Amino acid sequence: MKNLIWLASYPKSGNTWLRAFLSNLTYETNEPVNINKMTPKYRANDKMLIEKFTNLEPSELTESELFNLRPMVYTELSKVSPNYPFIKIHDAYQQTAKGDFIIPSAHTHAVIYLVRNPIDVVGSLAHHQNKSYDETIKFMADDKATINQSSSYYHRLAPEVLLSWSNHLKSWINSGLNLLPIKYEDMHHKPLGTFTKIVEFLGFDYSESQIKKAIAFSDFKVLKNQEQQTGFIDKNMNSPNFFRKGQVNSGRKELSQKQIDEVKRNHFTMMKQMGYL
Amino acid sequence: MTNHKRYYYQVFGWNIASEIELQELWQGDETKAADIIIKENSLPLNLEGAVKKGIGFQIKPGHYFLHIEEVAKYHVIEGKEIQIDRYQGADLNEIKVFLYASVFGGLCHLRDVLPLHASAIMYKNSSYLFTGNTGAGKSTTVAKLQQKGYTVLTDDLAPISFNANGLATISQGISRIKLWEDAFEKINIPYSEKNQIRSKIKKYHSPIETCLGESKFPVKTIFVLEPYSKSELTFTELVGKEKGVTISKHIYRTQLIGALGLKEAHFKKVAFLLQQVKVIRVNQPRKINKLEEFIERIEEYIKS
Repeated sequence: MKNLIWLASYPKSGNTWLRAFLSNLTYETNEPVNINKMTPKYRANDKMLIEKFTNLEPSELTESELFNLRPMVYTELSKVSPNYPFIKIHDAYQQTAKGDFIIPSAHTHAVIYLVRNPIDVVGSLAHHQNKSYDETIKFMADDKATINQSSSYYHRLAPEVLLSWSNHLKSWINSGLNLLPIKYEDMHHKPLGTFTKIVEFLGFDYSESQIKKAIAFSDFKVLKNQEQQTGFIDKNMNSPNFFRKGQVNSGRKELSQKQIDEVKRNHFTMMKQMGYL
Repeated sequence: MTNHKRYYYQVFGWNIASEIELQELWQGDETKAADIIIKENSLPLNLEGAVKKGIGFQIKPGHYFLHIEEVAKYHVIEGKEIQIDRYQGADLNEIKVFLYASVFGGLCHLRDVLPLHASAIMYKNSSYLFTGNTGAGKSTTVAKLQQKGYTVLTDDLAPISFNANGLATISQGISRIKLWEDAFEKINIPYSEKNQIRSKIKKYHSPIETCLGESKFPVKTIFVLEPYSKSELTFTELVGKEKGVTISKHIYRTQLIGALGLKEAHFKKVAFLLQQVKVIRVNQPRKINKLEEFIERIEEYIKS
């Protein structure tokens, strides 16, 4: 059954915002959904998901074993899910050593791919990873870039292979999957039109007023306020908070001209293709 | 390594006779009848008559089959025998990693024992269990308590047995605790490269220091460790439905129960357990500087 819905993005590109919107849309509550109870309940690299379908202890599997198992895990998840499970994923779209693509197209209903100006991603990702802008710029140009790789005993997530920002984007938009690319900037500037497009692409039936309510309940200020009140499980341990500014063009104010030029040099082709240059 | 020599061990109160040397198990008594035999055997790729096939595992009533590519195939038969077919050149440490986790987990279900995904210590002849999701800090907690003088019963897998009166007990498990590299640093105990559990994983064994033999220790309290992003440490006793739902989430390898035909017996065991234990949810700040405070609070609970 083609029932898996993927929320795919490079980190800090609006994935959590989209999750908040979809949660508020589908839960249909009269107040904003708690950020720690948002859909999707599945993260593609959650070790608990891997354990559930493999019978193996994920913390005792190697990175390559975990990666090889993941397409099979999603296939099993699809088989046992009576509805359309949402899964958040930060990996680039690529093949495992066994030749399987990371997500099984035969079980995929749709992919929403979120993309954000990489100049803004630098500021946000640097904050999230507690790294400098220069380190983050280098990380975003690295084709071996991987997150969640640390062997921490509190680590509940398997490593996610990102590749460089440009190759992450390329891997998804050239995947041949039923994919809708969405710009983070459009979520800001044209929220009703952009979120409506997402809802229609997924084949969901919600009215304009329901969509407007979900947009209001997932407003950045609401999410930031909730994090201050209750904490947020997705926050990096080394970072003071998850929700920081949530702005468009913040990178231009935070980075030096030299740093901005370096990001442009590193990602010129794909930035141009997405209309960022 | 295959020979006809048998090694005798004891673990979780079971007597084991094994063709494979398993130094992590406690020395057993060869004059006693073996509860479980571990032997090497050539195994096919599929379990004949399997009623459930998952990723790498197959099941039918009385049988659990696990296949780890490049490591080994394992076949657990009626909870009394484990056959192992190792891949040529496979490292024995790798074979043991899967034997002591998933294979022993399947074995528990087939032996009518309730396996909880938990580590445990003994205090005044009772057992105190620490369960939680992968990465919740179960092993670190018992390693830290061992450092403070408590005796560790088991790490990661706690098979709960029930006597004729329904009393839930556990016996001592495998003689080592598995910890990530950074956990050793944070609780300030050394680790040795030679104790690495698998060559590509920075997790190492640390020994359980005191042997308690076959003794059974009634389960008194189960602490459910749930790390979270807030800064205060909270302890909440669970009751009613929440108590049952929470414990059920941490039963080891529940995916096997239905296909093994053990559902009814399983629910009965869970109900027995819930009647006699306290379940305390511990919301634990992920920041490590709370570890000392957390351990002190745990000690207060145990000693109260």
